Amino acid sequence: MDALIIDQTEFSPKVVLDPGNKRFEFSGESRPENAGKFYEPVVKWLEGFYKELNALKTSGGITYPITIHFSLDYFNSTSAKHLLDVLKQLDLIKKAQIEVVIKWHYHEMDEDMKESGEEFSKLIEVPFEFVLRQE
Amino acid sequence: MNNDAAFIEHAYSLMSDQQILLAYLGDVTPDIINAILKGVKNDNTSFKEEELLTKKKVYNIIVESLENIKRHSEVEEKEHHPSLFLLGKKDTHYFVVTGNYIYNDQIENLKKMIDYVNNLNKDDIKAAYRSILADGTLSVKGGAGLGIIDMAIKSGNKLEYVFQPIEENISFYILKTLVSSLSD
Repeated sequence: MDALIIDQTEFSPKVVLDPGNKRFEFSGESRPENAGKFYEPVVKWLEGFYKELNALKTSGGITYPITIHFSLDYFNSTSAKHLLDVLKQLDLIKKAQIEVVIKWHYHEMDEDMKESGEEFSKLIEVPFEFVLRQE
Repeated sequence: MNNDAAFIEHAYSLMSDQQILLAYLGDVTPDIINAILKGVKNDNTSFKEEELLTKKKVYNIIVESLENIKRHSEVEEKEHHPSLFLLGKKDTHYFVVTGNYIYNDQIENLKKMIDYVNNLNKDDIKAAYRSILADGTLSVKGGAGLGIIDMAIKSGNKLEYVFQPIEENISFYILKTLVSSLSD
């Protein structure tokens, strides 16, 4: 499946969904002017990815767990709803018996970002690992 | 120019007495929101290095308050009433104030929402946030409820509001959100 890569802007996050290189990452700030429009292709891509993984699984082709990194500096409340849509897609993948882990990165001083991750983790089944950011 | 000087002195003392860091009066457009946020992000004078978390909370609240104005901008657009935005610091608190004109039929919902949030403790606010996020019962205006709840979480203080009657069907809606400065 082709990678989906969206470059970071001052107010929208960098998105890397790249199965070829086993890189899955959301980083930066999420406050796009039209959050629905921004996240639509992301959710679509994950839907396609889920189908592909499911097909691969039946032929015994998946050998690695999928680790998705969230390393966000900030997201607004409108983005939160769309981030949950993204996370729900990951839940589908997990429900298909494919190993998925979310690594939620936060700065030591940024308790709020850690709490946001904890709130999300209560809404979905994919396990969250919390990682202290060094930079 | 003499009249101007008196006015400018007045504006100066008013703003310095109230410790205003940033003031804006006009239409709240996406470009204006971006400009205000860029300014706050790059402001390393009003926010000391050790106050990064406070700054992030303030930033968060500014985003939600400005988007809140944009969401209720019918009066701004139709009646040409500009909106007000203030960021300041008084004693140990940063404050974010918005003032914008709204139609009276929106007051009841806003009041209900803010009163509801103000009466919840920290854990209950978070539970409310989760339930609105999860079951998607966002307001028809695209998330007003979630924005207010998010502001309350980041603020940790009660949200203060006033609805000042202006015309038969229009009121001036003032919303003030405090963030306690952690380093003071």
